[in-house]
Amino acid sequence: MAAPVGNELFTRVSTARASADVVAQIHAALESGELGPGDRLPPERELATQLGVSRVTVRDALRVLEANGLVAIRVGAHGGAFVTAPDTDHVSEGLANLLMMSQVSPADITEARMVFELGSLRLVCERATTEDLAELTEICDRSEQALRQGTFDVALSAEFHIRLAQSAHNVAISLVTEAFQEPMLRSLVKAKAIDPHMGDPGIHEHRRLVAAIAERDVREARNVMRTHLGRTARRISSEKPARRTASG
Amino acid sequence: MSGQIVNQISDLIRKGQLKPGDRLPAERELVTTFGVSRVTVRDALRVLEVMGLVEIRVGSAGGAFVTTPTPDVIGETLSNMLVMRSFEPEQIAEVRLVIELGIFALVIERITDEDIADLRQMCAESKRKLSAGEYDTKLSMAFHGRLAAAAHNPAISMLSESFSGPLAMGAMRSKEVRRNAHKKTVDEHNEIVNALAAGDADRARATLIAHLLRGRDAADGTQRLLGAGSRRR
Repeated sequence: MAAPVGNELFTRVSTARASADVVAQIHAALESGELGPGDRLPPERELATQLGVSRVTVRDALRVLEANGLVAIRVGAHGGAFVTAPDTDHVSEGLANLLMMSQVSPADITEARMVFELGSLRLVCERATTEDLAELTEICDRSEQALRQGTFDVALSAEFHIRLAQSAHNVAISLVTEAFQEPMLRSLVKAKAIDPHMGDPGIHEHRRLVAAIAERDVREARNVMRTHLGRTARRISSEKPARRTASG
Repeated sequence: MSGQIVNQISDLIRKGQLKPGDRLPAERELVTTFGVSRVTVRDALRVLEVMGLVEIRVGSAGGAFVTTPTPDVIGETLSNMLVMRSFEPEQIAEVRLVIELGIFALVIERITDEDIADLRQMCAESKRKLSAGEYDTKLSMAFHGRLAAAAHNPAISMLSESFSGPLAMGAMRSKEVRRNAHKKTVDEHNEIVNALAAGDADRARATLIAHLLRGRDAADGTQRLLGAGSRRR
């Protein structure tokens, strides 16, 4: 099918192409609903016969589907390839990879995060339940205690922001918020911006945020959030070395 | 087994110890380093390839090279999740609304003549395609992507691009893709650009809001998303 390359008469037969075909067929079955979460695909051997391809090709296709989070391979007596829905970690990890690897400056990441978290606050104010508020308060309590004991860690702050995003009750919003956490932490570390006292005003603002959300006061919540994230943004952008591209 | 190798390698990539363009050790070497079979190493490389972290090149100068992932990979996963009903098109639409409205203040502040010229050109092309009966939702996605690029923040562009594919799919599902709807879309795009070019931020914003809301009224809560405080930036 492909033209000969250089002085070679034959070109390598691409397993990838055949396997992409297999992937496409399985995709179509998922889209039409013929296959759904929990369903087990036929064994490799059977798939190979049915599709008229080698087992190597089937295996490759299953790997691709697995990497896409659409299939889980279980081993053992009741093993096999099972259809699954990709979980949200899959996307948030992918987004985090994208942000970290694309030479985006920490200042740009902070700005994007600010836009997103400020924008989602309206939904949070609208949809936060009593349970959401109680859990957010609990994180604030734990953070304060940790601060007093000198064990405060930025992970607690990340936990708060993720839990806050979950209160918008939209999985897609949570996963974007999660995606920003890792690159954020990384740039903070790079900028050496974490000092032992940083938790203090931060926690205070977290509490004010919870109070504003409880009051369904979008304006106040946004004001607090703007100050809160703005401080991080300034810390990051004032650190010139953080602008350097991947210094390893 | 291959999962552990994937984790180790992707960790090195994320930490910057392996950078885009770097070539991974040869398969044979990886087999020795990890103490696994060649099949396992190949599986792991294939997974990394699908994740958009590694590119496999064949030939004498071939091998596995570290690459920069693209938003397409994310878009694909999001589309898969829509297919699998992990979430509804309305939820994706809501994310887009948060992004597009949120960045608009930045767009107004930073938009350049070049941005406007590009957007104008896209509008003209859309009009041509529309009268030829060849309009495609992708053109609308491209317009919104270009508009987001006018915020001049690559992190925002990536986010916006990641979510544009799945939305096109949601739109197709909600059967909003009718000819009249297309015409309205193109007209509104045009109006947004005109307002931006005239420096009329209020009109640009109002048109964008109306535009984003139209055809998505099925999205629960969307209307309220734009409630009281939205004029405050």
